[in-house]
Amino acid sequence: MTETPAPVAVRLRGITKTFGSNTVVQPLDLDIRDGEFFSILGPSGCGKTTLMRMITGFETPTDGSIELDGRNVDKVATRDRDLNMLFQSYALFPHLSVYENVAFELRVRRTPKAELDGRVREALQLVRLADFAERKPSELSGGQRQRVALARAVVGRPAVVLLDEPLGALDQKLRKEMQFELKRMQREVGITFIYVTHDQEEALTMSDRIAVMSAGRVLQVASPIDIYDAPASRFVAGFIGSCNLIPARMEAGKAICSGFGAVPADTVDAQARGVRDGDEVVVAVRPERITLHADPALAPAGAARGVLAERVFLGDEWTVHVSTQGAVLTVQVPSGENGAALAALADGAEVAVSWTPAAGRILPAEEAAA
Amino acid sequence: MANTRRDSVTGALMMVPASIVILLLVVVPMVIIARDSFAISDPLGGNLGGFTLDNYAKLLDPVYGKTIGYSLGMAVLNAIVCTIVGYVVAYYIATRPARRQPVLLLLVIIPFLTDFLVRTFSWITLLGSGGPIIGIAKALGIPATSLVPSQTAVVLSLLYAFLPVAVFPIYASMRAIDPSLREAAADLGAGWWQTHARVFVPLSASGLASSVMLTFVPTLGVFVIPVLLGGGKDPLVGNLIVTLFTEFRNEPLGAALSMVVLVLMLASVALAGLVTRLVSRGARRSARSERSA
Ligand SMILES: Nc1ncnc2c1ncn2[C@@H]1O[C@H](COP(=O)(O)OP(=O)(O)OP(=O)(O)O)[C@@H](O)[C@H]1O
Ligand SMILES: [Mg+2]
Repeated sequence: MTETPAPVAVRLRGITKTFGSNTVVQPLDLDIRDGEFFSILGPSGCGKTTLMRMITGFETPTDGSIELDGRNVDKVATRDRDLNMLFQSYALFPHLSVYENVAFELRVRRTPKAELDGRVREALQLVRLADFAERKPSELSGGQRQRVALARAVVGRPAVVLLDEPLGALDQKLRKEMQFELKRMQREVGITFIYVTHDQEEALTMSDRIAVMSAGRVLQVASPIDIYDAPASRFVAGFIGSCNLIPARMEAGKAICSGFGAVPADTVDAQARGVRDGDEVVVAVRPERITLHADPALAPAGAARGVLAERVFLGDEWTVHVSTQGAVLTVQVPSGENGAALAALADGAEVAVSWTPAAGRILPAEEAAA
Repeated sequence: MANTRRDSVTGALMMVPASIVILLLVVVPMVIIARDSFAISDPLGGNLGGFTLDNYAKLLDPVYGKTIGYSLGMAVLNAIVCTIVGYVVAYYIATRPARRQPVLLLLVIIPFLTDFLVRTFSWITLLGSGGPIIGIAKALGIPATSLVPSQTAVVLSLLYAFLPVAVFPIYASMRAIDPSLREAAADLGAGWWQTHARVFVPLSASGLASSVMLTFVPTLGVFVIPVLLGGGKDPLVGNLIVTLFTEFRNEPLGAALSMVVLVLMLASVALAGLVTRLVSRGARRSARSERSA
């Protein structure tokens, strides 16, 4: 508790949204820090957009309160909140040129003319559209429109910009480019970005922190590395990347699976998180942390034996399914020496798999139902 | 090649029925009226044919000029009032949930399904001495007798008569507006007035222009309303034409007045078009020069 955390840009307390009898956002608390790239990640329909719309003020929360920069904004209209939204559909004004779209907020807020032009040019420079100022939105490509929308959102220098799946409508290649662009711009302008996506890879590559949502609940808020390596629940483990989930039961401080015996897992950490003997659990192991032994005789003690069920060559690696007594495990094998040994094996060959205890994360078998 | 020629022949053939209808219903009557406006009238209401400019000369009498001027003024007023009210109504309907919109539109058209005369008479009852408006005014202690005949009654019932004509084109152009633009405007700091002035009015401009035209032009031809609700003291051109045809039984003079009104209508439509174009071009130019300055 010695370090002083960055000031909080957005603070949500007990925020809830109910449409009719359907509770779309369960009461949730969230602190988003100043200047951070914060992603909200979750499957379709989990309430991401609804949460964003409550922060902007387009929707009124059924319950709870919202603070922006330490100020309660429950009764503050959208236009007086120091934030801007980048809409899923961009929502550019079709009758205005690129320049006028970007200038819109400054004109509305009666910015002096001398300052206005400089700031609009600067924003257009930032998104690399300075040469397109006179075009109409209809004369731009999808990626360019998206950048106009971004310039329009940051030109007024809001404290927070909310982006609702801004890259959803772009093709794969453009998406990748824009991810880097967005990250670069966010660093340049130093504005807090709240970024909604259901693309886990996008969230992992861009964010400082990620909130994983499911069915109106925030399941975990952590850095990309922690979300990936230390998921707090079965859902998070399964939703981010691919993950083997081995059902087991805690006995004498060990995770015991009928087929495996004791499953290698980080039991110390699990106890710290309150997992007790007798609990039904799953052991989550990432495919890339599993080592495949082509010759079971050479496998270390504690390795599980299995049968080679299926393998797919992906160029730089193999994805292999190994059927053990306890479960079918997905294993990633890098091409190279190991890969060559693997290629030489016949389907159905006996193999062994092993991983270090640190690679196995023990999680409750049932999602905690609130 | 052969194909495109055949297509264009088929296309031309398909135009035939529409062309015949337009010819019979628009061109022929127009030609007849144009011809009649130069004909010599006889005092008993006959049309002697021949050619004279007398009819047009008679129209130079200030009596006619006054009525034409008053009618143009009334038509402009009605077009403006209808378009403003139409804008408000259209915006209201267009921002309701999609499934409620057809019902609201129906409510706007329903009065149109009843006879024009009946609708006008209902205004006499509504605004007359025994009507609810006067009743309420009296109950509130405001001394009032009857609003009929009066110019207020004329303006009100003109608005009522032409409102649907204003609502529909505006609603049509408003429905094409992406609803998220309203939120985008609010998000960018625009209040109620700015959102309309900067987003909704410009984006429904074509609907607003149609509304102005569709209400302005027919107001010039209205003749029942000024008689029933205005007491006939301030006739519109429409009344004058009817009077010339029926009471004065002077067909050529009525035809000449009709031609004058027609030319005035076309001139106002052209003028309005010109003004709109100049205004929008001017706005674009000033925005550009402001920027380069
Ligand atoms: N105005 C509304 N009235 C009723 N239900 C709504 C409304 N808006 C959203 N919902 C419901 O709330 C739930 C969450 O919607 P939301 O748009 O927040 O999801 P999302 O996480 O953004 O999904 P996606 O990734 O598909 O955009 C959905 O089940 C949706 O049907
Ligand atoms: Mg959404």
